[in-house]
Amino acid sequence: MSILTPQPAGDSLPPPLTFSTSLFRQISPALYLERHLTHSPPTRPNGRSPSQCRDFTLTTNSLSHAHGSAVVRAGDTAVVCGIRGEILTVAPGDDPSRFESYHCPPTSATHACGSRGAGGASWGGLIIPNVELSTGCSKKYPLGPPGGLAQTLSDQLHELVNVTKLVSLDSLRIYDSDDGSGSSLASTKKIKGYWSLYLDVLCISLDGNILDAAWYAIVAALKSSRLPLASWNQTEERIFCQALLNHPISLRQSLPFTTTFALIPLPNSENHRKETAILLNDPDSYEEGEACEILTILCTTEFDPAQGDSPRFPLAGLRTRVEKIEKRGGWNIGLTQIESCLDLATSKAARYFQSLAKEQPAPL
Amino acid sequence: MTSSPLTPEISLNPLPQSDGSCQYTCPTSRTTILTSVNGPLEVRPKDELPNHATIEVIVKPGIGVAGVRETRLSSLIHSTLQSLILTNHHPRTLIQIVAQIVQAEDHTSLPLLLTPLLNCTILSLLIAGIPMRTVGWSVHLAVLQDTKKDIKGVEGQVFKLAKTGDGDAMETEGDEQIVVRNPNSEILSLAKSSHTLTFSKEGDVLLIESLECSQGSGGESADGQGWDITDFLKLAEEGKRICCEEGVEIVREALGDRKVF
Amino acid sequence: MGPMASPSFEVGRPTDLDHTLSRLLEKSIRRSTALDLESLCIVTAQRVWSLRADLHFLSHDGNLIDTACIATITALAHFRLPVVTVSGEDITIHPVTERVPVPLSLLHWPICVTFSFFGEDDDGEMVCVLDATAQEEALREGDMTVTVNKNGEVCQISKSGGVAVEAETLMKCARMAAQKVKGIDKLIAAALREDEVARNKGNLDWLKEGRSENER
Repeated sequence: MSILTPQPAGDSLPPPLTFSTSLFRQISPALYLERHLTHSPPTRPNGRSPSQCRDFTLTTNSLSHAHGSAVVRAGDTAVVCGIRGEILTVAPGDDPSRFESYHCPPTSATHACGSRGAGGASWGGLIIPNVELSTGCSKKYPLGPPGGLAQTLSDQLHELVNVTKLVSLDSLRIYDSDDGSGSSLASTKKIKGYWSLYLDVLCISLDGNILDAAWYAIVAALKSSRLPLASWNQTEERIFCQALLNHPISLRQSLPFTTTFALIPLPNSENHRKETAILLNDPDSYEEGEACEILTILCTTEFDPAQGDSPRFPLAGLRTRVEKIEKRGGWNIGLTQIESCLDLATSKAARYFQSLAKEQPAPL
Repeated sequence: MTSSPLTPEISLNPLPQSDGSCQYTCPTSRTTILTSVNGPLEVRPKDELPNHATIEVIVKPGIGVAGVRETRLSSLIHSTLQSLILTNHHPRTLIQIVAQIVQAEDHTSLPLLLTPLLNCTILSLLIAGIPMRTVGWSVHLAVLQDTKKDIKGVEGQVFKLAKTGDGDAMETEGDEQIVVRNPNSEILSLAKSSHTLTFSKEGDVLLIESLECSQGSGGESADGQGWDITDFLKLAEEGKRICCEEGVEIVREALGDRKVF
Repeated sequence: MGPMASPSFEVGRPTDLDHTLSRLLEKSIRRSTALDLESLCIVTAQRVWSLRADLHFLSHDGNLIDTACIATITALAHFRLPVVTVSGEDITIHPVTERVPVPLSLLHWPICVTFSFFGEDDDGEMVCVLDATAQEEALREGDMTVTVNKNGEVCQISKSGGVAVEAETLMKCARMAAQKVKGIDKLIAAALREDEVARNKGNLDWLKEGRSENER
């Protein structure tokens, strides 16, 4: 850390070369993080402990034009999710069953018609998330067409929608007569159209862990959305909407949430194969830059509905169901560590759930 | 070549122009992947890293132009290879990997494509002589939804794992989960969850891509889906065994007397 | 055209070869009206089939144009379109397992033949080479692509710059191309027939299965 420079002859020793902390942080991020994390107790540069996640705030229905929206801010990461419903008319000759399932198996006929293209609806289903990293949200992502991160995120969110089956597809159907005859006649009613939901996620500010924030924003926005009641008008042969927005989208009872961990290698050991590493919950972008492994867990905890919005802590005795695990890069996270991460994920999901329950739904 | 439902068909160096290439066919779903590796090459100044090699992964779809799914696949492969390849051995160079999906049952299904892509890429890296820390192998497992239903044509692919009791018997589930290795799209559509597990030769976890994939119309009917973590850990242990024993054996056999490792 | 074929191709940056190739194929196959476009119509002015041919170049050792053209024509000849029935407003696309799909109506098979010119030899005769390798392509002084069908009808000739070639040589080339195309045509037909035989075997098995299912 010191540089020898020729000094004029003299008795006084040159002052040792020192860096200000901010300079050290810039020029040697790996060492800077390592110094923090090897400290006892380990503290991250942002002052959090490794298992601590950032505080977050949630505001729903702040966008007046969208059918539903949410703003989520976790630390310096801020995302807006707006939901826009559009009516998809089932044209004669279209097979409605291909919209009906979250995982539609490819048939040879649809395969020949091109399983992609065609407005995105044929393979993308009815719920289409899209992520945009706005200009200036981070220095790393300049203006231009969506880069690798935005595309990967869009696809991950799309997969999350499919995996969680969050939205009841029944609430997206538009039947030919909506006279409130009840669901018993559902089989005889003909599906005339669907609501297709565009989930547009805009990242205003990016400071790591955008997946968790984006997914939380999507869940919150879907929960707050109100669509106009659409019905089929037989005389005009068109779908009409009422002006009033009072048709909620029905979601699952137990909402699943994602939690992301980043693994920072600590290359202080001599043996390169067995280097130690430390897991950080909810990494910021500085930590993500140094991370070699990313672990994302999607889990649901079933809360007792009687307890309403106050899940008990600790969460022992509650059933936690894992719906998705994604671990990429590196080789340091073992199976046992995944198990211990699940507890952190569960408690984070509970916090998400609580804050979502506090948010008042829009007046009908 | 072979007709076993567990052994993939591998042909090495089908492309004479590249440094290393491999064609891999999944025995059951007939997903065929062709990969080529070139490197170390000259790197574009923009992507140059001062003390590491730049890894570029391009996944080309069989139909149409590359979309978000291909970008995601290539980023998954990229992050796995980043830790496998000893990038500091060839600083300021480019290692370029191109994977072409030649044939697939479902060109948009991530779980069906990921395992063949990873295995094929790793084999072609070995052929190209790119220095790697260790060798990995990927396996795709599907847990079936209905434990009672018999599915034809999966003999030899199925194994059973005992399930841990949930305590509250709220569902009439069997006490074991039925796991199918190398499922094709037909079996995957019957599955409850799909797990792509990649382990290194030493048994370290390289990649996990596990997701719930049961059919359904969503909403409240999807409540209570998912799996228990202990069930998953059992499955992962089994996956580790498959990768470390059979996977390494497949690689060794495929490479034959090439003396790569 | 990606780096798989040759490391000199970059991703997302189409080369000149790319443009030439797609233009030539477009001229050879689409503008020669090889494919009867009317047969792709389902309901007039409403619904049509759209066909998309993706060409993936796996390995580049010269003569990409001819190879790409042969591949495209063979694929078009091999392609089967599912049967569609229209009754009133309802359009039914029968899956291939239900009704035997029909081939496209290809009127003729235009096939590209590319000549590479290497200047004149001592006798003043133009040196021209068929089916050049990548190395030969890098060294050639000019090239010409003639698209001919098996009846010897020239669909397209393109010679963009390069060494000056006498008209007589051009004629010789065109005649040679017509002859070559006859051979290529036979090759394609043989490959298609072989595939048909293999498939028919499978088809019969499938028919048996279908029948036994019906009996149940």
